[in-house]
Amino acid sequence: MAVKALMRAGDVPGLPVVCIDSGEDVAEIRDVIYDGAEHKLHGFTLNKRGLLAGRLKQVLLIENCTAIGADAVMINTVANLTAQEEAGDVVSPKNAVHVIGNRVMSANGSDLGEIIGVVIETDGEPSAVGYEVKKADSKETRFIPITEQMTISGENLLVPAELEPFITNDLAGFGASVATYRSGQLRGE
Amino acid sequence: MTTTQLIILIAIAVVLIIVAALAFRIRRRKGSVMATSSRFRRN
Repeated sequence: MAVKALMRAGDVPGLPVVCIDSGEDVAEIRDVIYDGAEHKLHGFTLNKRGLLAGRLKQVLLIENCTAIGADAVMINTVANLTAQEEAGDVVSPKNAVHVIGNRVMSANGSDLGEIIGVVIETDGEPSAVGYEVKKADSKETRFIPITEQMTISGENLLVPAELEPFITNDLAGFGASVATYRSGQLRGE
Repeated sequence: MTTTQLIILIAIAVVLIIVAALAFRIRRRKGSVMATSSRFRRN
């Protein structure tokens, strides 16, 4: 069972975008945008480098990234950045909504907490694999695997009750939990 | 109000405007995680 490289999507904004051919930082990640239905990462909106520099008119599509690391997002050349007009609506904050703050409910009626973060898999085809949730009365955060059966009802994100055994308290063990849950889904359990 | 007081007042106002503009600029740079789906309500 392969354990994937996971990281918090919230750690990506602020990372430099580094060109492999020149070794230079050409931009800084601003927003992480993913498909809420298929969970695949679409790409990133960008800021110019520097504390007071503004937004960059180009975006970075996920297919143009060579790697998403803990300290930088790597691209081959500066030509891998795409003009916002060419990218269309795929990587546009206008068509996206903030996921942080949604409440997660289990199908058996238990409140699993509020989404405080999204966990992404950075290997292969980058995608969102889980949510980090926190209950209002608890300091502890927990990680919930993303499933196709998730539905939204009003202000709640509803997850199947059978997902609860796969909720973990630490990100280190979450990769194995996601893999176990998905292998169970493939077997139709 | 003397000319000196007026100059000090204008200087304080200019400094406040610059600080507010810088704070706004830094705040606008802050990114977030977003989903392109109707599965999520708008916050």
